[in-house]
This record gives sequence, structure tokens and C-alpha cells, in this order.
Amino acid sequence: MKALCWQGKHEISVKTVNDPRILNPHDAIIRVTQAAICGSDLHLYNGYIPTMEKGDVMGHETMGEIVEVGPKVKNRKVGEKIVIPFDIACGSCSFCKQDEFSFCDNTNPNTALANTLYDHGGSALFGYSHLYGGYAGGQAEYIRVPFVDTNSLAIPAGVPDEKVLFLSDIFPTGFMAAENANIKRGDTVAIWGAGPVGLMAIKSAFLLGAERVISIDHYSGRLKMARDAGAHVVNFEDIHGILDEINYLTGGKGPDSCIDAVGLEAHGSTVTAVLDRAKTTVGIGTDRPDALRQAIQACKKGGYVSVPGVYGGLLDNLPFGAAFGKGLNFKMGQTHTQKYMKPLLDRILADEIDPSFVITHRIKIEDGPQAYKSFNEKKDDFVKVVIQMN
Amino acid sequence: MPQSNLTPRAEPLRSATTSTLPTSERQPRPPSVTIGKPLAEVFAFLRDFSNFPLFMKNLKAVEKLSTTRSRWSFEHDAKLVTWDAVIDAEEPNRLIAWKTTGEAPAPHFGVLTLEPAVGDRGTVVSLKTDGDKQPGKLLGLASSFVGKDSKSQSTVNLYRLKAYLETGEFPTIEGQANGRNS
Repeated sequence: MKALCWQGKHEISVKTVNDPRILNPHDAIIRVTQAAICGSDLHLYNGYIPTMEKGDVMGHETMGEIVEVGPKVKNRKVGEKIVIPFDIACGSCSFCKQDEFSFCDNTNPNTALANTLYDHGGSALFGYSHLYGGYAGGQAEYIRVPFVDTNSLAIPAGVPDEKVLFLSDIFPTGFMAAENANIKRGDTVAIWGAGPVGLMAIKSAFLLGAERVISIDHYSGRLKMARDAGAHVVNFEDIHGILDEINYLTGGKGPDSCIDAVGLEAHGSTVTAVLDRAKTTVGIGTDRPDALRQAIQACKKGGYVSVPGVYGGLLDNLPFGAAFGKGLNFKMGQTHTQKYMKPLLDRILADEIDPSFVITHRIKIEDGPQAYKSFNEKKDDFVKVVIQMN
Repeated sequence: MPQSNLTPRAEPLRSATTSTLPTSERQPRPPSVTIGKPLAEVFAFLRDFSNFPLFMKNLKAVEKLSTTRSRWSFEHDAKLVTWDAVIDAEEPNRLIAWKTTGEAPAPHFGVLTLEPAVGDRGTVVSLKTDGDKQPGKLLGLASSFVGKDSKSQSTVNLYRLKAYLETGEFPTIEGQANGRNS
């Protein structure tokens, strides 16, 4: 089959690779109909995530039709159309039983390796390095899904793929980020990052009762999408200072909650941001947390800082004194996608939201390598790229 | 072979957190996992060594020779490596200890300890393996059981044990699609 494979930093190729097959009794094989490229795929493309191996199949936002099931699969059948969550859960461990699927104990064959970094590694992820299990991803014609009964959402016939593809990652991620912000009716929420996760978080914040959402970015194309989603937009390159601006917009109180939908590749031009970039270039810092610093500094006393991420390693110069002094609440982590897929599908089918608004490009798999390059270089034009498989 | 590791203990296994030994002589704790299954079920599974190939890495088969003796066959460099082991100590629902006998590539012992998890949340299993180190004679396989790699290998095996008991399979990507074959 054809697949987009990681070949090194800044190098993605279309390769013909061996077809997936059933390896474990709860597996299924899916013929992929649509897959998306995620902003976090760019962290792999840019060489920020260790343990990638040449030839690894990319992609964690996938949907398609089941073509084969293993002998112990109970609920899924050949022919069903499913969306696949990006995190891989077993459904049986103590975390899965509490709906904390991205904390699953039993899906990462390299848990012992992940433990050396985080002491307790979480679930495996599709297409996201061997630290997270090394599973082949879904930017390919077929994908193998372990524990398919847990790791699938069945889609009713007649629903267009584009409407539901983002239940695999960015819609649950934006929604969980908004939920983690503990939004009360009437609240003001500030969201750093107007990429797909930030855009989903804007819409989710309104669904959860926010009165006002402030969207912060510097790409005018993305800010326009944020404005169309109902946010008050702030281009941080066009103002005196971001903390000054947010303080003004919130009547001197600060936002009730702040969402960092930027993560480790922050683009800011503040002194700390410039230092961050220097450190990562030289290799002595790993993450660039400028958005997170601003979120902590801006948030009201007792407010919530919600971090859908992604962060990988160590941060420097985090204003923890401000966090303590204001009694902030932090919620963060990889999305427990399986928990949110069905409730969010219900909202889509009730016409409360159509996530396909984030799509800016539709391509064939052969265009994948160029799309990665363009996505990385032109974020003003490229927001979400969807691969339509044959 | 150090005998103290094989001595069955009467007191709760996780109680002592102080040591009167000098710093340089203190041993790290063995790796542990918490498995969401009842203690008796986990013990019965582990007491039957023919179950070990279901989770232990590279172990192809364990043949029971008697109630205490067994023959283990490992895959190493596309060949089968075999050695015999005997159960050295046993406490029902608490401890199983074995050691290699005869001409093993690197003589070693293994100790599994079990106890109920706090809050009635399953079973805690620890695994320690070690033995006399034979520099220069260690196969890559034997280093899984002896020396500094043994702790990480025990960790891997404990996670595979947990996954097998909780889900009926352990996670693998061997044989999956990848661009290295094309």
C-alpha cells in the first residue's frame, strides 16, 4: 500500500510499504477513506520529537471502513465506517475504566522507555514516534487498529467524512481544553493559538457558556477564521503588549480562564521567546513556552489555565510565583478522545457545529510531501490539510 | 549467589523504607506493577511457569519436568537457547523464587513477589532477577537477567504480564506496516 513515511528532519516521502495485518486478537484492519495532517505532525517533521525511525508511517487523524477484524473483536463488523481516535486504549486497565483513555497502561510496548522520561508513560499514539509505541499511522491506504472495540466510533450512513474526521483528534482536543477551563456562563476565555485546536476550543468555549472568547495569534488568515467563529481577535504583532492588551480587554481583572493551544513551538518575539529559540537551536532547552508564560501571567486570580499542549521536555523560566500567588488551577494532557467522540458526534448530527470549517486544503496522498513543506512554511494559508484516499 | 534475596519474608513486603546500610550498599527497589486482578488469580497464573511464554520477552516455551523443575527455551539470534530452572522458595500468594541449574549460559535467579494493592485495587507484582556476572561470557540474552540491563528487562516483562492479564494480549508492532521494507 501507499503511505506517507518519515525519512528524517524535513523529509516525508510517499512509499509503497507492506500492508497492515492482524497482529493481535482484538485488532481490525481499516481501509482509510480520509486522513488529516495535524499541527503536531509538524513537530515530527521539524525533528522536535525523538525516537522517530526512517520509514515510520505518519498520521493520527484517520477514518475509514473496516475490512477485517481479529477473532476477539466483539462490537465492530466488516463494512462499518469508523473514526479512529489518535490515542490507543485497551479499555480494561484502571485508567480506561475511569474514561482516562490517554493514560492507558497497556498499549505502549515501549512503556519502559517512556517511563525514563515521565516516570509513568501513557497510552500509545498512532504515528507519533517509538516513545509512544511506534504504531504505523493513518496517512496511508490502510491502518491496523488495536482494541478496535475501544478505539473506534461508528458513523451512521450518509454522513460526509469531512464532518466527522476531526472527531479523531482536534475536536475532542479543543473541547476537552474548553472543559478543562472550567467555563461558567458569562466567562471570558483567552485562547492562545488560532490553529485547528484553538479554533475548535473557541467554538467549544461558546458551547460551554463563555460570553466572550479572546483569540491570540499572528497569522491573519487564522485570526480571520477565529473572528468568523465568534472570537475577539488579537494579533500580538499589532499591539503595544499582549499582557497590557488582555488586561484592558478584561477590565483589569484578567480572563476567567486561559487556554494554551500553542504548545512547544511558540513563535513569539518577546525576549523570553527569542531566548527559547536560541536554546532549542543549540540544544539546551527543549520547549518554547512563551504562550504558557503569558497565560499564567494574564489569568485572573483563582482562574484556570488549560493546556492541550503539546509539550515534550523541560521548560525554563516559568512564572510559577505568579501561578502560586494567584492560586491558579492547571489542567493539561493528551485528550481522552474516546470519552468525547460519541457526545461530540451527537452535537455534529444536531447541527450545533460543523468541524469541517477548519479545512483549507484537500489533497491526494501523492501531494503529501509537498503539503508538509507548505504547511510548515505558510501557516497563514495552511490551517488544515485533509488527504482524500481513493 | 546472594542468598538473602531468596529468603522468604514474614513481614509486609513494602513496609521498610529505612536502611541502616551505608549509602553505597543500598539496593534499588525491584520494578513493580499494579495489576487489576485478584491476588489468588495472579499467583496461580505465575506459579505455572508454562504461562511465562505468554508474557516474557523472547521466551518460546517452558516445559514442566516436575512440580519444581522446568526447562526454558529462549529465542536468541534466530536460535533456541535452553536452560533448566528449579523453584527455590515459595510462599502461597506472596513469593515465587527460582534459580537456574546445570549449565546455564549465565546462572541467575528470579524472584516474584506479590501482595494486594492498597485500597483493594488489585495485585502488586515485583520481579527481580540477578546472578553472578560473567564479563565477556554474557550473551545479549543473559544480560536480560543479570547485571544492569536486568532491571529494565524485568520492567518490560512486568508490563507485558499486566497487559496480558488485563486484556488477554500484550502490545506489539512487530510485523506492522513500515517504509523500511520497501
